[in-house]
Amino acid sequence: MVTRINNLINKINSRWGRSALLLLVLSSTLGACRKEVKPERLTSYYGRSYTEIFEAFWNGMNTNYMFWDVETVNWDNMYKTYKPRFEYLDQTKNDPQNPQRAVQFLVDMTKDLADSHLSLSFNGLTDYMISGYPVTGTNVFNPSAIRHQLRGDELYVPRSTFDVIIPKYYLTKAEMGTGTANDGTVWRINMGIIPRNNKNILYLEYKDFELQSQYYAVNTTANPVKPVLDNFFRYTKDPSIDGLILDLRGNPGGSVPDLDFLLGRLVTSPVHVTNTRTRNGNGRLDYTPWVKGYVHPQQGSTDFKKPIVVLVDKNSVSMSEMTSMSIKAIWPNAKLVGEHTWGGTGQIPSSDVKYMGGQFVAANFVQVYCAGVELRDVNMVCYENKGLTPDIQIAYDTTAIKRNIDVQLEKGLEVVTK
Amino acid sequence: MLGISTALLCGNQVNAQWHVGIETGVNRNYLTTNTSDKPFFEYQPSYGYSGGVAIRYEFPKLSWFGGIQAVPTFVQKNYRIQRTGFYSDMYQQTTNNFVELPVMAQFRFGGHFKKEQSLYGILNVGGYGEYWVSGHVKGRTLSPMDLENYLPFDEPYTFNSTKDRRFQWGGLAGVGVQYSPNKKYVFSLEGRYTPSFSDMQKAYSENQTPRYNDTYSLLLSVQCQLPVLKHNK
Repeated sequence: MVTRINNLINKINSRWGRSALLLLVLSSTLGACRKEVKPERLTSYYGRSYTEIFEAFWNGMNTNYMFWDVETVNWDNMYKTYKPRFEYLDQTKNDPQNPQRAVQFLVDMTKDLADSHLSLSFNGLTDYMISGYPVTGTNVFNPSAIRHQLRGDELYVPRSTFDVIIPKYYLTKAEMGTGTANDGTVWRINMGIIPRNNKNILYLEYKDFELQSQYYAVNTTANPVKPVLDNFFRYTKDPSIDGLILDLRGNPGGSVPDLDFLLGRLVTSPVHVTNTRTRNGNGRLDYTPWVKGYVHPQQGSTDFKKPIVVLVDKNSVSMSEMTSMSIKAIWPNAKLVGEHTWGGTGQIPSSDVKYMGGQFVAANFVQVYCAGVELRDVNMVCYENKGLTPDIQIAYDTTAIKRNIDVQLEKGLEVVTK
Repeated sequence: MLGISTALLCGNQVNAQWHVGIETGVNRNYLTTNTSDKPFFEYQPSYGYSGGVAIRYEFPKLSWFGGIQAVPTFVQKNYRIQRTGFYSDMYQQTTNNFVELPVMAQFRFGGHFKKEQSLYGILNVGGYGEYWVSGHVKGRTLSPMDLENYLPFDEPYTFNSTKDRRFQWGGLAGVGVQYSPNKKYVFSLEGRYTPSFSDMQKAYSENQTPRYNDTYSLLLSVQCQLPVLKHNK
């Protein structure tokens, strides 16, 4: 045995042996290959085939959607399931029903995704089925809205409650401002004082979060917005005011800078109210670290110390929820009164370039609108697709409102004047 | 290769020599991937350092063969995510700390030029396995909550067991010079390339773009020969 080993060493120690050993070592270490994948920019897909549409959409969602870390939908299963179906559409490309079939596939793939801001806008009117119900002649699919509709959550507090009943039957010194909203409709804000139990409660309600832009907008209406907000801010410093009710029922959200514009007038130092993160790579789970979000004091602000109640309902979403959680962070004794909120707390950048996530267009077939920033409260609780649970739950009473009684506002007044 | 090494290690007629020492160096790590689908975004290389204990098993009969060497090493493989253009104020500097075990065969060229002094050119070829120990991220980002200011972060990286691969492996190839002033000490200076062959990420998603570390190191090593081990027949 020893002799055989020595013979082997002697063989290795020859010129040919050395060369062979060197070649063997080099080939075994440097010969290993790497996997190569070449992603393309989403807009580089022209949609020349259903397969390209699928790849653009699946990859776009994979790299731009924010909630994969908490998502229950298995996106890889969607790839395995639907890729062959889109390939089949290419095999029967002359079938006029194929565009509608492709839409139906995209609807089925996204119907359970958690992002409450998610909506798909198709390049043309179409029909699709969702949970057994037909939706016809539309170009938009909003999974979260459909889920709420199917649960019966779509009952909105009518604007007449805010614009007529509350000003007439609750407010003294009622002030209303109007402007042109971003969507071209009339934007309204209602403010006033509600006397209750020998206390004066400041009340504020507005259509959506366009406060700052409406404040600074050129306004030629008979009831401009700026004086209403100026008076609101003046009242927040008035010693005769004993509390505040902020009415965010039915408020669909809007501009994030309104958080500073409104709550920044009520604090005198920065307050940590949320945590946010964005994407930082093209992997499904590539995120930046969480960074703290603050409410920053604005010029002329006051340190507001009085009781606060926020009225919320099933249709309070996005900035309404962010404002609610911010108020709870700044004033831990503040109370949410009303109904469980919608659960859409992500933020929507105007494109996916800056924050590397959010809305995108896939192969000119479908435009995807989705959150590009993930937001959690100060305790890192995620409310996406869950919503905030109010401290005091009370439903909107459609019978009582006919008698000009708003039971949710009544409960809010009871809580804030305690 | 393992068989040949074993044969060499078992050779009774060979007076094998152990060398032990330290190896330290600096490196520049490149994260190799494809980011063509992300505009205003790139991975940039970063410097790191390494330090380890070199253990070499030499066969005096094979003057062209420096032996088998293993160097348990602490090594940093760092990279930077840099947003470019309009967003160039945003970045993330990532520091990754590994415990690495490179194992290599050493080939030598040259030899004695004075009595007891020798100068060799060396070629190291082998592979490594490594274990991710810890990481740190530092940088600046932007939040819609604070549009006026870039927000700094500086914190330990939290290992994501779904996404991050803790064990990685790769190859190595290095060239350098080895100088022995006497029979006891050996100094070497080496440039080494260590490409990883395993994706830094687990295969957690379809259509995943792989990421590899490519590390270029400049290493200085000092080794001391232990007393010659004589095997009994």
